[in-house]
Amino acid sequence: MTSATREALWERLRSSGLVEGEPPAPQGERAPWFLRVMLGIAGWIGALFLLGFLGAALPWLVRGAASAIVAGAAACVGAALLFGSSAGASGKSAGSSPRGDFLSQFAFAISLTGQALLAMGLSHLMEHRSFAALAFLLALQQAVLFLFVPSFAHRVWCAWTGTAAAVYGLGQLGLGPLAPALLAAAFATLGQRVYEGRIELRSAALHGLAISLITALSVYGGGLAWSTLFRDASGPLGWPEWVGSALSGAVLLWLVAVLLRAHGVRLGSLQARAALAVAAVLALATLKAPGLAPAIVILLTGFANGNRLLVGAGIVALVLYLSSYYYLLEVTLLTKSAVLFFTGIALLGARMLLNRAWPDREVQRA
Amino acid sequence: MCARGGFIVQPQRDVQPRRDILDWAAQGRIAPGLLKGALQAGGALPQGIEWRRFLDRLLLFLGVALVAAAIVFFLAANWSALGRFARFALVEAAIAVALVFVWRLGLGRAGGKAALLAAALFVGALLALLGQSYQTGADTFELFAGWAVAILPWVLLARFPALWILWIALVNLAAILYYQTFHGFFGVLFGPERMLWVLAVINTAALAAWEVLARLGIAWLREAWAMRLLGLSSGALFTTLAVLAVSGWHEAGAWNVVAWLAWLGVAYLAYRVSQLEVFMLAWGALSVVVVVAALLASRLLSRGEAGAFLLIGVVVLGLSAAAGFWLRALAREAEQ
Repeated sequence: MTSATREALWERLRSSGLVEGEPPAPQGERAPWFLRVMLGIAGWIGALFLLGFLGAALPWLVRGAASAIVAGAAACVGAALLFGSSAGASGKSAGSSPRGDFLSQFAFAISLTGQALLAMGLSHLMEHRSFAALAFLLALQQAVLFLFVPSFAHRVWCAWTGTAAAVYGLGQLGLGPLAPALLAAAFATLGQRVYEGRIELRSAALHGLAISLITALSVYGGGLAWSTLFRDASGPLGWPEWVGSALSGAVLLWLVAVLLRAHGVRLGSLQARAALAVAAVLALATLKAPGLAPAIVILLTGFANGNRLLVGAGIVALVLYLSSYYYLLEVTLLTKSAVLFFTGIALLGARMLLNRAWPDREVQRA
Repeated sequence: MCARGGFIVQPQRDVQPRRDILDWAAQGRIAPGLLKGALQAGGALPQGIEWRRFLDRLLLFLGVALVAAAIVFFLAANWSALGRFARFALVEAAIAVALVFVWRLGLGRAGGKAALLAAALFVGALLALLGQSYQTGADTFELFAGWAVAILPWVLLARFPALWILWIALVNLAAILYYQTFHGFFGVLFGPERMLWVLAVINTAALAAWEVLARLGIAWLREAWAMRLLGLSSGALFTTLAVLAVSGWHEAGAWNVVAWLAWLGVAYLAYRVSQLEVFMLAWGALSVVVVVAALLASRLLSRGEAGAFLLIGVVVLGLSAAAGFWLRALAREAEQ
């Protein structure tokens, strides 16, 4: 956006009484998402080598439970301080000068190393007694780091890995099929309030949850959830599968109702009833295709927030889920085929009705 | 979803007002309670007509995808109650219905494009059914190659990026399965160099053709997601080739590194000198970080000395931080 259009935008906001004074000087400090991803991957590679250094130089540190936990905690505290000083080095926000960039990148790698040490230490402490307890401890660890380490990319990482650890823990307890529904509920709720309060925290949590949800959908869609990878496969399928699927559908219905209300559409109106009917069809299909509703929740939330990255994530979630759904062993291919066919026809029928009830010349030309 | 016939479902308004408003909020120039109102006033959140267009595309493409997947799943189920001819009739009817929609709606409209995409998917199902029913003896790679050849005329006519990406994916799959057939799974796993070369050439040629034609003014090819996807695959393949070479993997040759350097050079010319595309440059920077790390690791880590780990870690972080600083400046430049 040029400075002229930026000033025009500011003027528009000022005339609406939303801002005051002159427009701020352009800073351009907010890095594009792909740059953050690139730096994150590089930081992760760097952290592997730092961990290798610790393993080679101080093997006792890695092998002992107490030493690994103390060193890991110290590394995380050090990383938090480094993130703070990198913001100071740039004068404005983290990573806007060469020194600030290096410090924040170094801090990220130090923190990842610390997290790995903490995980190893906790694992030694538990002596492999309970993978579920270990997973929930790791989730707690990531939650604490999410709150106290002042970096957006780091917070996304913590939200992702923390919720992924919790999902793994649920899987160990035989509650894995509830995970997509719980993640979708958290994601949809947060998505409604992401622009309120501490936006950096909320936005980081939203993006981390989206990645975690996509991961869970890929895994659970393919039926791995019920394999020995994620839980003891000794028991028959039980209530978690049904409750999880039903809850996912309920989350979608709730989200559609909330979005309708937010746009001033009365729930008793024809528009609202039509939208809720489509959501109900998808919720029903979700009973046999459990990833369908959570993927659409990502898509709708992303669009409602004007967030193209999350819209893309929703599409990726749908594609990944449909690809892995083929391999879900608990539902026969014939049943899957029927569910997908009738849902697809219902959606196409809904589109036809939409075009008749609310024609849009531009779309019809497109 | 793009405004005119695009496949990806995206908000249609410019992404920049949202970023600027969030930046101002982060600087404390917009009170937290007023942020949502500011985003609405700035046009960063969808309003009625945008929701309507979004739902139109969502219902269309999701509906078509589910129906297409349903038919593929149905054939894969190999339902014994349905005879061979009935199965053929089913798929052929699906193709015919899809083509009738293409004819009625035209390829200029999203509905026509979605119908053609479905028809292209059904052709694959038909070929798979042919192989399943008559045990033709054809290898799997021939199925995908035949599929790509069969739908090529539609792809050429459709002017639809998603269909092109499907076609390129089919060509990639055919190449991978060809090497799997003639070298076995472990041949692909442990001797992947030749296959990687072929895939790198396919994807880079596709990217180059796409870029050249888009820059020559073919507007429908200017789909960032498609170009980025091709750039990612092309870069990942050349990076893997370079990593194999610097790691001393089997007989991976120095040509791998030469090709990777050439890819980096051309990418710099195309995405920095000729036209600024920070996404591709970021991907190139990550490629450099990965190859340098692999090179140092192969040279320094043979004795497992702690200092070598530390040195490589610091080099990786230094390189990536420098790249981050450079790319951030370029991102600012791109916004001007």
